[in-house]
Amino acid sequence: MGIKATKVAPELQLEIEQYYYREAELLDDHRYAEWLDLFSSDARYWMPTRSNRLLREHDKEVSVEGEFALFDDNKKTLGWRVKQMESLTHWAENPRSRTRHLVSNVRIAPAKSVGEYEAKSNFICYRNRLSDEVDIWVGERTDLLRRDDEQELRIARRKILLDQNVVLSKNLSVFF
Amino acid sequence: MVDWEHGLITGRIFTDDEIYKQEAEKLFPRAWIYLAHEDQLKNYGDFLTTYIGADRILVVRQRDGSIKALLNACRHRGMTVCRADLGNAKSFLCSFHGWTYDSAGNLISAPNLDSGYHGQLDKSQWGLVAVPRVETYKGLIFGCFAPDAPSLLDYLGEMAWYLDCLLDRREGGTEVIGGVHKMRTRGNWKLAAEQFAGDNYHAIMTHVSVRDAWADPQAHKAPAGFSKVMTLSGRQFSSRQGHGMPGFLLKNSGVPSFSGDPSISEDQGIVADYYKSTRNEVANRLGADRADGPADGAGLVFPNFAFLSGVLGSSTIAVFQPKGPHLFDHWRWGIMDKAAPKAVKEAMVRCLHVWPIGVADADDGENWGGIQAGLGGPMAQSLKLNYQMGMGTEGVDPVYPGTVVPNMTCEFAQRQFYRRWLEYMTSESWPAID
Repeated sequence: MGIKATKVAPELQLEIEQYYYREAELLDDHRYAEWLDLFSSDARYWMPTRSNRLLREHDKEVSVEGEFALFDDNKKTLGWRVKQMESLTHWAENPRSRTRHLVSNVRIAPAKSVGEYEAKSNFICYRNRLSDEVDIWVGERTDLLRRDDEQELRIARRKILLDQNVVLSKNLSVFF
Repeated sequence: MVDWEHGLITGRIFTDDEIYKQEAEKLFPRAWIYLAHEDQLKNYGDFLTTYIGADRILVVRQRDGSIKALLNACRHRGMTVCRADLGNAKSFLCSFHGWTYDSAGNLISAPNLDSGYHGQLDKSQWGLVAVPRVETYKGLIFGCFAPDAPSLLDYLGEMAWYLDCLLDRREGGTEVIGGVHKMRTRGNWKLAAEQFAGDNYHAIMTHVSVRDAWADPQAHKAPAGFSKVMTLSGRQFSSRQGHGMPGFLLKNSGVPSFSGDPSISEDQGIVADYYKSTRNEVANRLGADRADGPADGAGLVFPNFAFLSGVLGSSTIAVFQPKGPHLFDHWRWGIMDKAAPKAVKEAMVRCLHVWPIGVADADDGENWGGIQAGLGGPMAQSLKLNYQMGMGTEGVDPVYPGTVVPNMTCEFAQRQFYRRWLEYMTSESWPAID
């Protein structure tokens, strides 16, 4: 049995990869308001929690809808976080952290509607803070990307699987 | 190092390896430690794993409906018997050699009982060690290793009166939502514990950016409820057992309900309406003082169980699990009235993802880590830190039990926390209170 790779038009693959590289640049340059603009007005930004399970109960390893999440935002509440990031009194980010988002393994499949794509990507985010604080977050994002009226791609849904049980950073004052 | 009478605490109690070791031996096994909520262990065989200080604990619902807490260490070589966080199991198999325990911790089988042990291993003597004291208070399960500790109810003392405002508002009590936050936090565990016991003072500075996050973009101003809080009329409670509530509002505080602010979000409005609509029911159960008063606040059950009750759309419970002097794991669950309508519960869940988890906790994490870094050297560790706010203002209140300060913001509860901490650390027998 081989791997059944979805055939993707090279232009689309290139467009979405470039889109993610630009998104990473916005985050690493702390241009959070511009980053927020990438999301559709009905967006959901969700990072469930992960638990250690007996293997026969492995299907419950990721928390489900309605359970406790690390992020569970709509565009309004994500906007709150962005405004906080821009506040001069958000001590977790004053002084600013240095971050670098690396995005790879972009897998694209057509979604249900025309102009929508399901795009999975893997990420590494490195954070270096104050003199010697280092955090490395690794995980997978599953996005629903949708073209708006101007044919621009918007993120309509993002599910982030962080590959940690205990979150090994003192906070998550960072976006993925 | 702990001169609570003069409000002076030496920085070294947060950084010293030897003090940490003594806490692990003298404090955590002798205090009542929160283990789980009954709602998380509904059925026979439901289990979860947690800690009493540095020791791993396996909590299991028994066939007869009771709860057992077991030291999660195989009697053969000490291997962690259950390595899952939660689930359902009727037996626990040690993956090292195969010693197998039932849900009550009895050793039920081991390989080579005949060929290796020649039938001489008395299985009845080699079960998992049970935490000898396991008691519940309105859904909260606590465990204690000390045979001479008082009952959980006596240990909670006056704190139970305040806990009821979270746990016993309505028939059926509370439930916790699935999933838990576990964050590895820089800083000594006591920094978080003392904050939930008594530090209302930090909120307006540490969390000032929450005001910016919620500012109305049209009006360029913050919602009224948050920034006014420090100046409102309220009380601080503390217990001789070390428990405390840093500050809670009174009915005439000027804020009808701190449980949710509709100007912040529709969801907070839904929660605020729910608290309003259940007010009379709560007053019938708990009395008007508790229906209108101390529900709005944070609190600590000594030494490391904390809660945030009915604040801006959600309630949470937390445990601070020490991981050496410089780190702790911050575990946190969402908790709500079991009888609340589905739509209200869903609004509460949405609220707690952004507050406090989203826009408040990050700055606490920064500050706790900053304290630990600030106390990095011997000169700083020898500093006597100032815990003197509101010295001598404590007294008795006609309404609120325990020792009460007639002010939202004071450091009496922290002084009481460290007074109690010192008693555990210096007492050979269980530190009874006269």
